[in-house]
Amino acid sequence: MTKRLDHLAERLEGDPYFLACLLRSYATSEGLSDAELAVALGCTVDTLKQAGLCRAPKESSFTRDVDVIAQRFGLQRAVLVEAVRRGQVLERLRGNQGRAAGTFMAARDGTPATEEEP
Amino acid sequence: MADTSLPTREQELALHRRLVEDDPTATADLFLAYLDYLADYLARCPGTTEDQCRDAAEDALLALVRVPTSYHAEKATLAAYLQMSAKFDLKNLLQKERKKTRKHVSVNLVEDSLAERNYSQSDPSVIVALREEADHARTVLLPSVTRGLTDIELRVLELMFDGEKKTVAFAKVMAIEHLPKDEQEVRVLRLKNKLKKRLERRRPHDETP
Repeated sequence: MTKRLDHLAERLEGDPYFLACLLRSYATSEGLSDAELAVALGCTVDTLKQAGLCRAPKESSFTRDVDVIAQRFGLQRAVLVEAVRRGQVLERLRGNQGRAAGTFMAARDGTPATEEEP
Repeated sequence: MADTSLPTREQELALHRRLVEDDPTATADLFLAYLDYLADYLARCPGTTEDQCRDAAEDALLALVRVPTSYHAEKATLAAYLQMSAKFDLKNLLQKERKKTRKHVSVNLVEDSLAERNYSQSDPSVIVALREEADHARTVLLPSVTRGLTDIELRVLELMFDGEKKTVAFAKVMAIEHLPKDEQEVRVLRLKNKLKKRLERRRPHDETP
């Protein structure tokens, strides 16, 4: 990752539209460093940051989104699911549910949840 | 970043399709492919800092992620579209920072538009108007203004946003350098006025991209 991409990744940690935000929330709640989270997900820190640039999985397409992200970056699927779920809950508790903070004015809403959750 | 590292036309079309289809990994690929390229491109503008160029490049990419349908593949390459979009954001950024330091704000295209309406540029309210115009241009006008424009018109619009004043630069893009200078001036002015009127017609009540 270049310095500029690092900066963007850090910026996206404040926006629940992106996976970076959920991963940051999860890591903080678990007291994990970037390196420790990367180990848990089975990747390098660089790959972790790149994965953070993805759109966060949506309720309406959760299984598909997690599968696509895990496969693309070679992440441990089960750990990714836990990190995303925990991150979503934490963001809801912070009052960020349904709100795209910071970067976005409005995230596109998917259709009502039709996929079964894992 | 060398142009050879940019996605090919096929790759950029596929990437855009993935954005529109809401592939969760498309945003990552977009940032990885274009962030450094855009920031390097903006860094060629004199008087800008690395942070300003980086922030403007980020803003342009995030705007595309927010509304992927704002890009029309038949009109320009994705790189060209992002360049124009990033320039909007850079100008916006520079305006905000100039306002902070109380320096004179100058956005040529918007200046001309306001001058035509006899606004005084020493009036502080003009600074607010300039910022609002630039914000509006960036978020609403760009996609709707560029829709339906020919390649030449797009390139002329780009020169206008760059603040280009020289007729020879416009004549080159319009491929009319072979004409007498007074004829070049007439044609350049006619096209610039057409594009300015198009911008002015796109007010907030118009369709959003």
